[in-house]
Amino acid sequence: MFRDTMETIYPLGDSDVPSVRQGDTVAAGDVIAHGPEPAAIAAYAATLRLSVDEAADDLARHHGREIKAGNSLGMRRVGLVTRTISAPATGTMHTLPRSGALVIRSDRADCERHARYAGIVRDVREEAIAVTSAVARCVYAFTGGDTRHVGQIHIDPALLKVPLTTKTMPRSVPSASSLILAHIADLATLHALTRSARGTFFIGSVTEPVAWSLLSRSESREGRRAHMPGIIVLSGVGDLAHGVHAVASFRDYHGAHAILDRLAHAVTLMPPAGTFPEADTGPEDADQQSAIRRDPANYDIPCEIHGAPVVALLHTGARVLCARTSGSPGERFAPSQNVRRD
Amino acid sequence: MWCRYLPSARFHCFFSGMHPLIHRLVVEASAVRTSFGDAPITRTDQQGAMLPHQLFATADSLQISISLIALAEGHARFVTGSPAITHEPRRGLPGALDRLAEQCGYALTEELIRAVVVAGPPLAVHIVGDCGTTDQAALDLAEQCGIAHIVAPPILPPRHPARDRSWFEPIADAWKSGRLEALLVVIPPGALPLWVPPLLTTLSNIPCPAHARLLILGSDTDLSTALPPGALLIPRDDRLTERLTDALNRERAVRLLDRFPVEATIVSRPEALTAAARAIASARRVPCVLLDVADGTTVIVANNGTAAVYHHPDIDCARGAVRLLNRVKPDEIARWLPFTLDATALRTWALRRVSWPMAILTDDEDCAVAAALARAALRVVLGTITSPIPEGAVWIVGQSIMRLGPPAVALRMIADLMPSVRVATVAGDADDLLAVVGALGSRYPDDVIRPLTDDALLPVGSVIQAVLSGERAGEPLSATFTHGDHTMTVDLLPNAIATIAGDVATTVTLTRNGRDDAPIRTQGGPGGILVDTRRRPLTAIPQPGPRPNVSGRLRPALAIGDVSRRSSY
Repeated sequence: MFRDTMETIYPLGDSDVPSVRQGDTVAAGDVIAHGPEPAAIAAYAATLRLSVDEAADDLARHHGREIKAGNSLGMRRVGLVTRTISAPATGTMHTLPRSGALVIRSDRADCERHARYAGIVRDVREEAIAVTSAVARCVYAFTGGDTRHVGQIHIDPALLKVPLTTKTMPRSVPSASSLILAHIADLATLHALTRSARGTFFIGSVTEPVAWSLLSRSESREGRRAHMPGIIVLSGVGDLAHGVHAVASFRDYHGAHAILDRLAHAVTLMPPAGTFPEADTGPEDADQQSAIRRDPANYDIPCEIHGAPVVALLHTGARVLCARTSGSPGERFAPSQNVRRD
Repeated sequence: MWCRYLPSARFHCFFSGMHPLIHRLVVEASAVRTSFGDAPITRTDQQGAMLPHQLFATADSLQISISLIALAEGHARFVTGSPAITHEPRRGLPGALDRLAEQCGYALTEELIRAVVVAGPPLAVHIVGDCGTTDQAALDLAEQCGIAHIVAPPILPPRHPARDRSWFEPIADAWKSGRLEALLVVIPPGALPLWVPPLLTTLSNIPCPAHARLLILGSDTDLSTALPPGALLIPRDDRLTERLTDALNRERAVRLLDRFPVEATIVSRPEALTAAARAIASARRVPCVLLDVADGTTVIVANNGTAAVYHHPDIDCARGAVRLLNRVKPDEIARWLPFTLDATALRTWALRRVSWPMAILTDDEDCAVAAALARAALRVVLGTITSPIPEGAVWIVGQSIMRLGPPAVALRMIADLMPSVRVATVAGDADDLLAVVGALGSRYPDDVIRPLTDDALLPVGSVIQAVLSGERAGEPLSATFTHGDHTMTVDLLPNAIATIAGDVATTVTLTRNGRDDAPIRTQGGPGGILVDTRRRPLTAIPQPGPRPNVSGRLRPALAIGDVSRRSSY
């Protein structure tokens, strides 16, 4: 997991007035702008069963006029039925001639625009407000089930150090929350979890049978039908130690809002205001770091990294940024991308 | 990626702050600064000269890299690129720019990025409304190029929407909770239908969640004044396809890069590769077949100014390895391996690969398994091509394939995959520059040839298929290789592969039962010339047999190393 920033752009309408300035700190839910109610659209031609051309003259008449909500915009007798259309909102009417429709815009800026996430206002312009939020991110290996809604992170410290079993199955997970689990070792536990639990689960690591079942069931029609809960595996295939390591950094993020980005394969955590944990002071500057190889042939083999990365020519012909490693088999230089630092 | 303009400078420019090449570029740039067409991006560097250079970013969910293309001797050339090292997506762009600046000796900012090539999973698009033929064609193209995945079926409004508003409540709920990546509302031409106002009003009242985009496809451009803030209207006009793909690509790029110049061109990787393939076919005046297994599997066939893209975003030999195993029987993969690997071991390998897909394969067995998966994935995609692959095409393999081993591996892979094609000239994109050059071509079409031919493509070798089947299966077959005054004749064994090392153009004449076939012009390369006499369909990897008879001597002219029956994977 690493610290990062996330920029949220709040687009503004023509009549919106920002109520924050550059550099202001905003909390989630704070008012950042005032503006009129969103424009209301009235499908004039379709309601009165007119063609766009037939409605053109009527629409031209309405253009620029004030109207109150509920007032009649027009009526037309079609066969035995009289069709009427009334204004859906109060405001000034503008026409959409090619659509045979009317847009009604309110001039009163009595609607508030709220910040969705806490952060610092980076830029205020006519068209948008940009808010930069401090976030934590971590990449994940793979997912299974329905992971479209992640929600708030729920931490049960007891589950961060032991594997989940059928006996330690969580029973009271708040709805719309994501529970953090260290490890799942057997299929029975996975099946119990997918049968009984709801919500989303972040799991540090899983064993190979569990990973295969998870990925295969997600692919299969049965898995889609069964509405599997969302499962996000952070470190991929591994043992309990890997799982514990992967979820350890989540400990301080209880209550954080999580966003899953499928395209970037990353989870973004937005901690509740004021509770951002202290920055990790990892061993990045140390001369020697312990690490684990992650290329398939040397998967999970521990090694040590010495000094700064160098560019090396591999025997496959690729020139890549490499770490000087010791304690692992193969070449003295391992591609930096192949090692995961502890 | 490395400095291609002066090969000898590859290492030098990386380790020293400022290479003489850069000095040369600065001087040349101040003299010739308008050949990029647009007003050049100019900035004052440390030496005070003005340098028109272009940065091109490639981004996927694993890594981000930046390539510098600048004027050299009046032509656009690839100068250098940042090594892609990140698996922390958002840190990637500043990190890549820093590394590029280390090589160039001066700061390069994100404002200089002219185009972004986006790879990775397609954007899941939920559709509301009924698509017409034109709309569907644009969506199909977006899906074909790996930009969008249309979540089927589209949500169709009821016949009497005024009486029933419950139909869009699930959409509104999903939108509110951020479960939708992109929502496309398709408004038919003509009068605004009754179902649109309540839907748009409802969506207007929901704050747009992060990682979600509301797109409106309509014919009336005035409609943009009535849309919720943040929604994007895609007008249904002559440029509908371009606008739709750009909007979707831009949304994907935002996820991966966070910030990039608004005016930057955004293209998907298959689109960029297609542009490159089309340029190659046009420049060489031969058909071009491009194979790539990075972030999905792509086959592009370009011929006579047109290009067909066959892209499968789910399967490849890294992140899509498990999905591939779910589609293809383990035997269909293990058959390409020069060692025994049972289904369980293959599964283990795939799960490890999926767990850490950014790993660069260094182990021979890893490369062999990845190459087997790549073959299987490419065969799946090639199997969807209905029109025959044109004869005489140049086959181009992407970096994802070139990195699976020495050039002979790429050549052997083409031999295994080639449909009924007699000769294939094979070139490789070892530094993954084709997508960058394709993106360059999307902005500056006149400037792609030099980077394409001089920087991106490296010759790999040639493949000749000399299959004897039916009654002719037992006929003796030999191949005569001619270069200038030198000739060499090789007796070819049936159902075998012979590789002749050589890196110059050679004429090959196949002699069947004493009769000569028409001579074949081949291009040598580091992989040599591979003559394949295996019967189709291929069954198993041939075991090494006796050494074929060789008469003649080509060594002085061709630097031929050996005639062998390699069984490289």
